[in-house]
Amino acid sequence: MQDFADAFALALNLIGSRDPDLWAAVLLSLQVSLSASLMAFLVGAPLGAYLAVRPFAGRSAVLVLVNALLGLPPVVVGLAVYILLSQSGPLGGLRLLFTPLAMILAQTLLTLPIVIALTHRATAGFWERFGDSLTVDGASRARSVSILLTMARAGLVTAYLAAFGRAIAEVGAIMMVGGNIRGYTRTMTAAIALETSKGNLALALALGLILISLALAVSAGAFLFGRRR
Amino acid sequence: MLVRFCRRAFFVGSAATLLCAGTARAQERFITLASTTSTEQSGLFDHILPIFQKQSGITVRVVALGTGQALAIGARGDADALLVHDRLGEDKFVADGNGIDRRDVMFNDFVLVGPKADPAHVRGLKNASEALTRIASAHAAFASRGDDSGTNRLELRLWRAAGIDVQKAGGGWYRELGSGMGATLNTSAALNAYTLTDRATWAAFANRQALEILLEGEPGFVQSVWQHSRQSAEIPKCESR
Repeated sequence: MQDFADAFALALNLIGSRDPDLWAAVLLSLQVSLSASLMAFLVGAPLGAYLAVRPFAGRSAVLVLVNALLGLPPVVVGLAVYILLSQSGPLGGLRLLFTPLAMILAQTLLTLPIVIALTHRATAGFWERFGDSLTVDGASRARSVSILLTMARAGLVTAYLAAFGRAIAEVGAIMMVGGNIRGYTRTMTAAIALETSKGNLALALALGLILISLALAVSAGAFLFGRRR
Repeated sequence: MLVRFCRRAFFVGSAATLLCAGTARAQERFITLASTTSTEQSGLFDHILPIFQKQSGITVRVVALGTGQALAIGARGDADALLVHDRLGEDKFVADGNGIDRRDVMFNDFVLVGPKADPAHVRGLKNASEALTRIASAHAAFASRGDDSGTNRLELRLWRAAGIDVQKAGGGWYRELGSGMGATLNTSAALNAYTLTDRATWAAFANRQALEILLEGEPGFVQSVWQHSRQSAEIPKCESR
């Protein structure tokens, strides 16, 4: 238990200190994970609701696929994005490898299935209840999607937070495409992995505590955001 | 009111981070250096990179990887310079036309670490073969990197030199971890296992618990020479760099 007490004290010390490396990692973690989950949300939420509205050929297959992708291994996403962005890869010309943008791209792909699946789940029930009335009223597919998204707002917050949670906790994909460059692409999770490998267990755990506090703050923010007026 | 403010702040915050990330690509001049993890962990870069940057105006972005992975990304053109330690792999890298200007930069020696209690009685020995033979016959736990790193390759050569086939060695005393040096040291400390480590990583490693150096200065331990290969400008894909 001493280790946990040490880590807690160290975490408080670190927060009080002005360690530039720490704050760079905190900002980068937030920047990358918020951006990735936001992009996944903007793309995924309408797709998820669209899947709930009126069946089309192959919808079940798409749903099975999306749900399977919930278990997408980060290291595989990292590898795929690495190969895409590599100088020898199809998008090498963009020179995005080992930059924060590459990390955002990887995490967007990683979290997209989460947003789609959870949004579908949140909106499908509303469609069952109100779908007929919407159809009778002559609402277009796009209009139905937007109405469903408004109705399922609480569920959407959960979808966003699940995506953000996966992104901020993730290390395999971002280390691969970001390169864990100090002061540039070193996130909190990468720093934790690094300190662990250096045997600085208390410091690693302290960084973990700070990371959890960050997630807590974002969760609280999203909660307020999602609350009805 | 508070709620409304928070909503707006949250949204603006998200949009701003997205924007920042979009413009975060630094305009500074930089090179990407793929380096073995142990060099980074030794703290060397913290000392020399600021000096280099001051003199040249070029930022060095260090990507720390195992030697095998560093060679692989170098071959794909994703690093401008490599700092690796596997002579055979480097020679092949240069022979394949992936890099030029291979140089010996520094050397690092290896040490055999193990539990203070030393169940296989290797402390004070002067010979790696003898030490490994004793570990094998005592069936004392030995943690191997098992990741095809330079250190792992050296370790396997030492076992071969001692005439021990670790793949066939039963008894579960030989553990292949498939991990980097730091993770392997953490596991060794937890298992009270012997392991081979480079001195730089060991010197910077904080979680030693009951581990200590039992064998060092063996001639076979100093054979690792660190090298530096520069990307060839002749590789078309690298020309834009």
